[in-house]
Amino acid sequence: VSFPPLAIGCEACGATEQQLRPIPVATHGTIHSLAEVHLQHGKSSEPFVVAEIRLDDGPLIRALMARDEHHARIGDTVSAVWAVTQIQDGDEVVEPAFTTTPTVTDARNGVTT
Amino acid sequence: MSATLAQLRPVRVVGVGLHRYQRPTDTPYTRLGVHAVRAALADAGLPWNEVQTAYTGTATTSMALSRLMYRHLGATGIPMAQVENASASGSTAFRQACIEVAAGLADVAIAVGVDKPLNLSSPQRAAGLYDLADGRVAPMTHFALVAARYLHEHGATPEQIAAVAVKNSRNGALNPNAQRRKPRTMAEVLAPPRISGVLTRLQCCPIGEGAAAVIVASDDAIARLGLDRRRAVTVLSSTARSETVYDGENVDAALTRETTAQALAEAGVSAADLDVVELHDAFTIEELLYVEAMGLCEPGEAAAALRAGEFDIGGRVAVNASGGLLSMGHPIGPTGVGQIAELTTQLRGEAEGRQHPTARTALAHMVGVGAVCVVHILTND
Repeated sequence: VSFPPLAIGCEACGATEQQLRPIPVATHGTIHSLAEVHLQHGKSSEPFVVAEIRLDDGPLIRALMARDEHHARIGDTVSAVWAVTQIQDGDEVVEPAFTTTPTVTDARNGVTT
Repeated sequence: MSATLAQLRPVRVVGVGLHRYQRPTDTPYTRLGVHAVRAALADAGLPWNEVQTAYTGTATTSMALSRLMYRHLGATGIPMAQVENASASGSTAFRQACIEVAAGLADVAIAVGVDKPLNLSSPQRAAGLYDLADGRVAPMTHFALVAARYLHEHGATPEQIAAVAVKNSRNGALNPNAQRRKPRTMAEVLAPPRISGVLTRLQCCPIGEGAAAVIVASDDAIARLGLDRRRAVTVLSSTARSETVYDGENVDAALTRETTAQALAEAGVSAADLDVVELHDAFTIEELLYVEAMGLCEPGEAAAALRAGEFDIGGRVAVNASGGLLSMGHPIGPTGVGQIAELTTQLRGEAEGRQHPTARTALAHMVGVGAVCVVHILTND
């Protein structure tokens, strides 16, 4: 199981597109590492937190932590929610973000491979 | 049947030259590169028309930049090509020059690294690859994540990671070709601006401009052209690998571990034999990770060894005596070639002000995003 999907061919065995299939993967996992980012594209921005998360289904992914998750720690269990990550030209940008306190808006359909 | 470099005819470094690394200026890359080539020719005691083939390590300037640069030395009609391999572009150009001499296709070859940060591109974007962090994991955040994991696993402190920048700034202050020439205290290294995770500005390498050139030659050429064999340095091995699928191990550490082990085996030396090492410290955490992966100390012991002065000039093994990417700078194409220039200078005993005593065996290491890893081992025997 790999994320992002390796639809063109598998890096572990070279299996081709015909041999690979998308599968739903639960967005539950454990924080492997964390970084609060202060500078992005050479400019300082409002700090946001990026996490490496080992999903229960196997892959090690990188994703955003929800905005109020500045106290998350390595080893915490997390799951994804749909979160407003920024406002662009008056529109809310909604992305999957991980939280240690999931709610009912669990982004169950967000991660597939 | 395939062979290692050591099984082919000997390759010696006979000349090195640099244009100092610096913040970007209006100076064209052609002038930066020609400056470094002329310095290397003068160092070797060679005229340009004896150079038979040229490889240019470059990644951020322009396509097809070689001929516009080399023509200023006199257009001799030699083969030339750009070598792009991300941060390992210069190391890969040097490897190609070594291979061509070792194979007997050329007696004298030059590897030049030159770059200005004009076109920074992203293979992920070109591949249409998106993850859930959507382009928000720049290299400094990749290594901030590595640093946080290292702190977690080894119970290290942010100060122990920052100590890499303190040491390398001390070395860079002694290197006239370095971009950052101020020795920095721990307080200065830890001071804002914070960039990502525990990494502050002085724990991230500066991307500037510059050039480096290294000339390699066969023993035939050294004899025929009357070059100084005593100042020549031998290339014991040249190894390049790329990332594979690792079972949970840190990818950067695993790739460096494999590539270094192969380079040491091909050279017939062990990690304990190394006196001087130039390694890819684009971010402070990398030096701790890689000295462990190379076997220069036990896993988890890098911070303690660094604190004990084992990696200082004059210590057990001098790591990044040039100042490394953190202080000498990382202009991309030149960086890997510049490492060979530094190690050659150390092995000749000519590194005035920053000479490591008894430098006999040396290792150069670069990693490029992707990831790829290139390692060379040199000796003055």
